[in-house]
Amino acid sequence: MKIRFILTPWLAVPALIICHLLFPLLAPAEDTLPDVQTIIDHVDRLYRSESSYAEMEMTVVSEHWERTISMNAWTEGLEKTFIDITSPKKDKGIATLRRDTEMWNYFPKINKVMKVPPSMMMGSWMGSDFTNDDLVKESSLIRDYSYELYTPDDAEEGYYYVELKPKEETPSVWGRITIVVSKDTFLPVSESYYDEKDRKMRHLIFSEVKDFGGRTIPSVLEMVSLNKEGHRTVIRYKEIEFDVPLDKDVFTLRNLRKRR
Amino acid sequence: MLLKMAFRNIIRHRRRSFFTALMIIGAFTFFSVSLGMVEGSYSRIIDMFTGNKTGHIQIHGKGYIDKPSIYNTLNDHDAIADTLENIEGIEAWTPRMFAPALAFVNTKTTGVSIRGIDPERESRTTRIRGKLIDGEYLSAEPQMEVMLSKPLARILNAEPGSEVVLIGQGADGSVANDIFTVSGIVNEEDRGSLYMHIEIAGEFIYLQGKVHEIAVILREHEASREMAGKIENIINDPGIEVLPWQQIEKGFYRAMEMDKQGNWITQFIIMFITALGVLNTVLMSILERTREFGVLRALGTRPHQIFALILSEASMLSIIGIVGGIVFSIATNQYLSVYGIALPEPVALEGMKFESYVSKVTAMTIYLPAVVTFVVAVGVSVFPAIRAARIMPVDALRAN
Repeated sequence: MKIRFILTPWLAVPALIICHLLFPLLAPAEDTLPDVQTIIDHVDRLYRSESSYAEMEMTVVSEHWERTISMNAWTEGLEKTFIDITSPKKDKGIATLRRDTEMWNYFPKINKVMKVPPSMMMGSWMGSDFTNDDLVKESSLIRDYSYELYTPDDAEEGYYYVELKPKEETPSVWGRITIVVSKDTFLPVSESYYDEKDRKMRHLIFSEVKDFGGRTIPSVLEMVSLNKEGHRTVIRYKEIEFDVPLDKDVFTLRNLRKRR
Repeated sequence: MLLKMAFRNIIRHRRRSFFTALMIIGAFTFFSVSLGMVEGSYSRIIDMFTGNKTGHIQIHGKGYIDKPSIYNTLNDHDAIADTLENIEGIEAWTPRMFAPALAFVNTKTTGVSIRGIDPERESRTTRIRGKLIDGEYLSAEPQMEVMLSKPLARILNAEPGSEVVLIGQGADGSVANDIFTVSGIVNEEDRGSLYMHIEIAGEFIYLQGKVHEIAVILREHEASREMAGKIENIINDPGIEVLPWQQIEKGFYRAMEMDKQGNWITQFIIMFITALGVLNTVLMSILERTREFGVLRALGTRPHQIFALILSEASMLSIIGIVGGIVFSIATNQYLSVYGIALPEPVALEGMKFESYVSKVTAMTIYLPAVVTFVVAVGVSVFPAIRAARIMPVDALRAN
């Protein structure tokens, strides 16, 4: 699911235009409820693009330790991701390649490519609060979930609250996801993930909205694991470019193995 | 008067007294040596067992034994080390670090448990160096090398010189990964043991300078419980747990205690046989003297005096026998504790080999037989003594 944040072109504007074209009746009515689909579609496409290149920093905090790694990430469409860790020194060169539903990690020190087995998909990626699955899954909120606006007890002015439930055919570990979206900017503020027993498992907070080459997106994502005390991960985008031309070789095992 | 008579009776019938005393000496020695063998064997097993890996005492962060976590390291292990250096009765101690990992050798993969050790200290504390069956022992200086247990080497199809790739979880959440060379194979039954220098292990899992466990070997394993309490008091840190081997290896200890209980049945049978021997001798010596007691009664000796006379004789004889028995049994036990009784075939138990039975002299191998033989010898005299006391002089004089 993470993929949604790392990637994809800024289609929001065209998406909105399309929405306006498709639902011309809804658009002008400013004070009526907006179409939920429009909101979710916007969130869904927020970080998506035909291709992208990002430089980011990930800080993982736990009860016992804290560490920050820097990484570069390339994406193509929804299917391909390549992440290369650039610091700290001892992790430098560790890379992750994801193609469709398959995923590999490469460790330069031992010169070994390890495929992430299906059983490890819910395991943590590089010790963070994001799972391997978050990186791999090409799930689309609009396609795989049913959604509706709702008003929680602690609802505040100026936000839309959307509740998503996986469709019957969608394999998902989450019982439901709730998303809070700002009415002004249409940008997500936070997401909460609930398990099948409706226990809140993790909380994702979006902040520090920044302009990257004309696209305005939250540049900091903070994932808090609620089942692991004191465990949270902050991803900070330093740089993100959308629709950059990429070398075909980027998403190959050969490139994964190449020492950089 | 009575004691004097008893003593004279013993002296007068030298041969009879000699045989009775000999019987008691024999019984005592028999019982004492069999106790000594049991004590000796268990003592040997405990030494073998604790010297294998466990040590007599282990020091951990609180709760480590029940729930090992790589984050549960010892606070200030340098201070603990200083403390151990200054306690009397400690033979050696060694620090350890543990972590799980995945090992790869060519195409073979298996889960292993890394045991970070200080090669020099470890070899003074446990027998690890002696268990080396192939290659070299770990260098004293930190090197990127590992030793594998025999089954692990077989699973990984590794031999000295093979390259082992390890992947594990770093303490900072990173993926620990590195390449090591196999330096040697140790003869251990454990399927997952992989040894490396503790400093290398610290760098690998990112726990530099930390320690999960300190194992201690004492001069005498009998003092384990007492010393554990003493060390814990001296360290005086609620976050630190000091446990004797009995609590660390509960399963082994319980099995041993049960086995020991079972041994008491054998001991009881031995005791019973010796008691029968003593009974026989004492009984005969009294029946033989029916006439003598008849004369005593005829001369006006009261029945209770005869009763007391016989018991005094029995007590004196058994004291003489016990003194002799102590001398004999200590000598025998001492001899057996050095030379042992060779087993026709060595017995292997949990990777430890036993080639002979050895004995051990403890307080129990002396006082227990002493008490038992005395009680038995005097006890079996009671019945014939009552009989003698009740004797009718006329019948007695007519006998024989």
